[in-house]
Amino acid sequence: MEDNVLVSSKIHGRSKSTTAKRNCIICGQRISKRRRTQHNFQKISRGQLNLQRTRPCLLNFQSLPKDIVLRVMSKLTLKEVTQLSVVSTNWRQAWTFHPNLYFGIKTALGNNAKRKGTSSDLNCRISSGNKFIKRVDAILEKHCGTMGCHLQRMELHAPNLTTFEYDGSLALVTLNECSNIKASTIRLFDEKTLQNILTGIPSVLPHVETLYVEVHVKTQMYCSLNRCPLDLDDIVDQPHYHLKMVCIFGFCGNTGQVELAKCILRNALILEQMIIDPKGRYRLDGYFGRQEADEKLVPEDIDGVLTIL
Amino acid sequence: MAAAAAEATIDGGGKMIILISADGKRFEVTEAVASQSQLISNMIEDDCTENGVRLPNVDGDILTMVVDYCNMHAGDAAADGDTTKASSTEELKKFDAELVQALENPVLFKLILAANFLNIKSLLDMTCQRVADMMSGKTPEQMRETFSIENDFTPEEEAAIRQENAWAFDD
Repeated sequence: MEDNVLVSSKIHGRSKSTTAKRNCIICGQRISKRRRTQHNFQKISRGQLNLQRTRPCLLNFQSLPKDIVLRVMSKLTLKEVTQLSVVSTNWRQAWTFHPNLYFGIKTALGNNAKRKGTSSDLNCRISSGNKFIKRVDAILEKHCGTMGCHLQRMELHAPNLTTFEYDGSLALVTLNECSNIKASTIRLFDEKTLQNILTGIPSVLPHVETLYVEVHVKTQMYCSLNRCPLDLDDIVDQPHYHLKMVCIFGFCGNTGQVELAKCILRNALILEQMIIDPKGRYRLDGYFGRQEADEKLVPEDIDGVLTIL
Repeated sequence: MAAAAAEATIDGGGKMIILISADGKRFEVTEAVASQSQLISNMIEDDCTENGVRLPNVDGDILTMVVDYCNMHAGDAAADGDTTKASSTEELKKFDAELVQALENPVLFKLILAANFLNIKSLLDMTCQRVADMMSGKTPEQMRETFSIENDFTPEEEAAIRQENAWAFDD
């Protein structure tokens, strides 16, 4: 019971404070500064509404609580909300809160772009392609969702896309109709499981012929007792039929890294080259890493694919 | 009297609840009707509706509309079916459209605030959609007129913003 009382008083409090703060109240018959727009407003309300008599204060859209304004705007398209940015200073940034970002040809290039975008003139297509990328970048740069909130889903509908580069987890990405992507580069930070790298990413990109994955894997320096480092707990031996080249940078020879390298050597059936680069950011000479690689990895290198720098 | 009425039950066995608007108007509705408001539904659950539910920031006129809406839509949610109230989808659509269509902005906004306060999601969605529909397809100037908004930009500033967000303006 107390909970409810509290909630209701909170809500009440909020709407009260909004009322107090609102700066655009038009008080029924007592308009002192008469603007053209308000004039219309007043005429209609006098003529039709008895409702206002009980409370002479007319509400303005801008005096509504911010969450409601955003709720209304979320029902418009990004373009419509962006057009609102010139209506008044209050709305200037409204589009940066829009929950759905849809980047179609029209959205990003304007209405007559469709013709240009599909034109057979290659230069024309490239320039409108670049323009599209620039616009999308500019929008993403200012949109608050890309700064504070978390992206929930990203869909790509691009049948002509042939190269796909992406930084971040692909878990949120759906590539619809993108069967022409032949080459792809994925950069990941702090990947916790190998599962995703070896099977998750390729499954999102089923038609890709060349897949380049750059990933930062956290490996533990010290191994307590006999347990494997946490991050590699899920190393499961499972043959991998596509991995051709692996390069491990910053190899310092800790148990996790050694286990990771061994796992790849064991499972990647067509591996052609594994490069171990012991020169990490903090180990300029890479002596220890090189020593560990020599000692622990060379014996595992049955196919002679190992190169230690 | 309020307590007695609130305890009273109707044929279907649904308990009645009294809603009291800011200006003291009383509305007697069934639990099924009232619980479309998440706020009141929570209060019913916690047994604190005996003396009527005071809604200090909802005017009687607005509450009339809200109660009409809830009466109309009680069929959607009510499991213990007062079938006479359950309306067909088409009727509901027509009713909803008519409810918001004729409203003046300030009344519509009050209805939004009431739906928000009472936490009636479908009504909040519908009313917000109405405002969005009013915005859709309007030029900035028309927008200012519709919503009585003062243009506080200098022409230079406005031009700069148009330039900045050119993609939204070139068609």
